[in-house]
Amino acid sequence: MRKASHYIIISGIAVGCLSVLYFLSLVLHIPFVMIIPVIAAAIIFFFRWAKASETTDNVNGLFGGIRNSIASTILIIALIAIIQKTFSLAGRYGGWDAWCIWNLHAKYMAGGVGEWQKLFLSPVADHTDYPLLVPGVVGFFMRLSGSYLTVPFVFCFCILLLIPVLLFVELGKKSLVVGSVVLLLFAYDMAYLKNAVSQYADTPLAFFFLCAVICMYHAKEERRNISLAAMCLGCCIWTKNEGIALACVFVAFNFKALFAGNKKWYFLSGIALPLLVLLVFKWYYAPANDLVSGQSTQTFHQLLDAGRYRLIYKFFSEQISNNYYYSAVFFMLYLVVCLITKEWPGRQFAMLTGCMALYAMIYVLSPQHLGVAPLYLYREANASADAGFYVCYGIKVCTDPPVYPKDRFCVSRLV
Amino acid sequence: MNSKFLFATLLLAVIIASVLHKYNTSKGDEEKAMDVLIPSLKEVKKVLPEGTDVAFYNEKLNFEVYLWCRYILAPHYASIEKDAKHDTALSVYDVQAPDSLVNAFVKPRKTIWQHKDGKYQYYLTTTAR
Repeated sequence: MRKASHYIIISGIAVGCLSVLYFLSLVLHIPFVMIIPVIAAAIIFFFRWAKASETTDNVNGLFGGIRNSIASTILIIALIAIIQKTFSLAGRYGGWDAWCIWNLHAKYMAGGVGEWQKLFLSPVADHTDYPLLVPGVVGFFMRLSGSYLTVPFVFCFCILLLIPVLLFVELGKKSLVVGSVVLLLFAYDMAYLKNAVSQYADTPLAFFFLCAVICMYHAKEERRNISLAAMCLGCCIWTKNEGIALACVFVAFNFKALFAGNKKWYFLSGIALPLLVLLVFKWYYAPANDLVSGQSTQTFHQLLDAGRYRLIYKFFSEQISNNYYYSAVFFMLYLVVCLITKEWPGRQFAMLTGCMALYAMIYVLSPQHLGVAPLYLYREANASADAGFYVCYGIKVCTDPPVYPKDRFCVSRLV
Repeated sequence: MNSKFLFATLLLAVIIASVLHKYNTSKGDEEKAMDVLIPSLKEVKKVLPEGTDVAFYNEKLNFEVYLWCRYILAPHYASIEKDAKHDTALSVYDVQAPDSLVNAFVKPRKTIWQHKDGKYQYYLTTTAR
């Protein structure tokens, strides 16, 4: 794995680790002044451990020779475009869900030991069963800095940048053209930028899922990358309830790679802490999730209700065609290329499709009346597109050679 | 380009974006309403002791106002439930609300703090006399 990708991924995991430890400090009534050095020490320890598995940069830089200058120029152009567009797109307080759920929870968590459980009090317009990675991180820095306006934005903006840059670095390794096109697509993708600056948890979820895919791709280089992939999945489950489902799909599609031989210990060691914390949160604090608690004999009828499928398909496809047109085109092209080369789509592609199907099933099984489904579907289409299509770019090139034999089809050869 | 250049550039981008965001002007009605509420409710937070929760009363006002106030007041919890047992209540009325409407809730209670801005009038009251 490249040094830059490695640092981006372990920085993301460190943020997840910070959230977990801050949550534990609130649960265990540890004073804030004491938890700061503990968190700092844990992050330093984690960086030292993770650093051992990193590979160094090429002596000629990330891309080598003249390509470094080209890459730098493209990066700067993309960053300027992103800053310009986010300035016009970003609301001062984020979107509705930001101030009604995520940042509200963050403010309660910033309140400390005596205040954080107030986030479970509200019976209206609040989702108190949502995991707390984003509120934990934002709440910690709100408390540290005293700034309630800037901290949530800085966090979401960092994630906004890291997704395309991570793909740029990873894809640029094989083809600078592909990496650059992907980076610029993100920089000018209004749907992505709008969703990312809304300060919701969908984009962090997409980021951690992308990190898990990239770590898995590099699992053969270093077994420690399996631990890192597991930690990324741990961050997914601690970010959103949908992250739990996405992590299950990820594990199902990579079961052999994760659990063969002694690899399972690497995986379990990586996911143990976030899983434990999630269980504590769900068992002792969070109310039941409406999707889980709302299941009844009606579920069977919903499964057979063709109208539900039609409605979900309609809204899902509308959102994709309106907001993720280029990603959808790429998806189709990918399938066409697979047909021409008589190749089966790769496992990661199948995993992604599995994630999409899972999102759709959530709304087939939802006990809520479908009248409100469009609202949720809009967000879920965004979330799944974040977690899915953005990863898809990565899968396009970051796929094991056996899936795309070099002599038959390789994107880097096409460009 | 090496990793150091990459991270330095990203850091610079984050700093620039954060500064721009801090001085960004509010666009939608929702943001403009919050801009009005924040300085006024900041005063309430000064009056409220740490850890105190309040009942929230906003007769004839949009429900969204409650949600905005709840967000701004956090980590103080503003309860809208009818059976809330907080003796301190924050009531927010439209600035043009008739006195009879305001007095119906405020008059029987002891007013701790009151304030009026361009859009709303606020009363922090308690049952204790």
